[in-house]
Amino acid sequence: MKLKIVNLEGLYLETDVDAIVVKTTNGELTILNKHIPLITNCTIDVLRVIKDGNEELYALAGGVLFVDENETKIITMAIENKKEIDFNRAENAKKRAEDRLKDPQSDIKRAEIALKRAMNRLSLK
Amino acid sequence: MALSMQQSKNRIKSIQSTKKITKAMELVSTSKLKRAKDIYFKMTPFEKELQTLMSCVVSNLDNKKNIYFNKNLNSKKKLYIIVTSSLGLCGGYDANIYRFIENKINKDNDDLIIFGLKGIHYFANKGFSIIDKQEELPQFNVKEKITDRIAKIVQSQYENQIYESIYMVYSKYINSLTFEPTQVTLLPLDAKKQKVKMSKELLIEPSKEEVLKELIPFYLNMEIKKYLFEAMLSEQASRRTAMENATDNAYELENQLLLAYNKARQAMITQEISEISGSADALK
Repeated sequence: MKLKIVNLEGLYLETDVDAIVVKTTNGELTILNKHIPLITNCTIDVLRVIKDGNEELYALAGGVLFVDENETKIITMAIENKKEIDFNRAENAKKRAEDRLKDPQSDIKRAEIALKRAMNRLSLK
Repeated sequence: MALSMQQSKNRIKSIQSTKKITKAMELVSTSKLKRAKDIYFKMTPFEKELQTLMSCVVSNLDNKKNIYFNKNLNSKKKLYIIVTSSLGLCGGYDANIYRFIENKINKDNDDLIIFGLKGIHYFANKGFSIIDKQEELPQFNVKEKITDRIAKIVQSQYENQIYESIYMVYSKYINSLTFEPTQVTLLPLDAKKQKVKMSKELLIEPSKEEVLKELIPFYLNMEIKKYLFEAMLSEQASRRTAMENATDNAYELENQLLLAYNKARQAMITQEISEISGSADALK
């Protein structure tokens, strides 16, 4: 099965994979070869890409999953693997978001999303 | 050309320094143009994927009575998002945009959102109503959050039925020498245009409406970003061309003046010789 991930800076990844495991708004989903065409929303979570028995982890900051024929596409604003994540920055972002959650005047929804993203990145550490 | 030697010498000097400046600016904008091009063309596959995805969802949508697909008839106001430059010296780039759009806007009714300092000054001066502005343009950084804010405003204003429709006006990049002021419709979405033939039955989870709800902010953000970066690409290309022309003109002027200078010099020498030989004759 072909996997194609596009982010803002263009094509992030294009490879052949055995399966991917992704969290969607309806729960966890494993996409294997010959999955029926599907469009669904991904939540902020870890994306597992399984290739030749090895599992690779990516921090996915939400996006849309699009399965068509034998090609799976993920369109996202941000995706990183373990090597690319700036853990210090994520740590700072987490602190900032937590502070903002304590402050009743701030935009709670935005802070929650920021916190989720930071925690997601940190979970790969 | 009746310039004296001193006059033409001075002018040659000043033209030479101007030439140096325009040449340097040409080189700077050439490298900036290359970067802008890189970013823009890297971004386009993303945008294309998003477009196909959008079309898939939209063409499977049964109910097109959605607010996103129809002009908002409760309002007559239109919103224009206009991209101009923040820096000058880019030839007719801004002027073309002004000329293109000014007559289309209904001054008393329509609102504007403006990118770029030049446009902000121009439209504010003319008394248009500007509801939001962004003075500084992102410098070659696609991750820039500027468009997030604008996209959010656009969406919420449209959902609150404040505007009939929302347009974006920018300079379309055709090639490095040609750009065209262009107007595109951001909202309502064109449901007819987006027809895609899907191979098999398509599963959309949790529901088409839900996916669309997620997609629209993403899509708007992306469209605005794409047009913004395209306009910035045109701006760099325009600036490069303008500077190239300025440098060429400076060369030409310098040559003309040099010719005038040499003529004046030669005339002086000839006159001196004839004076000397004349006086030598008189002494005989």
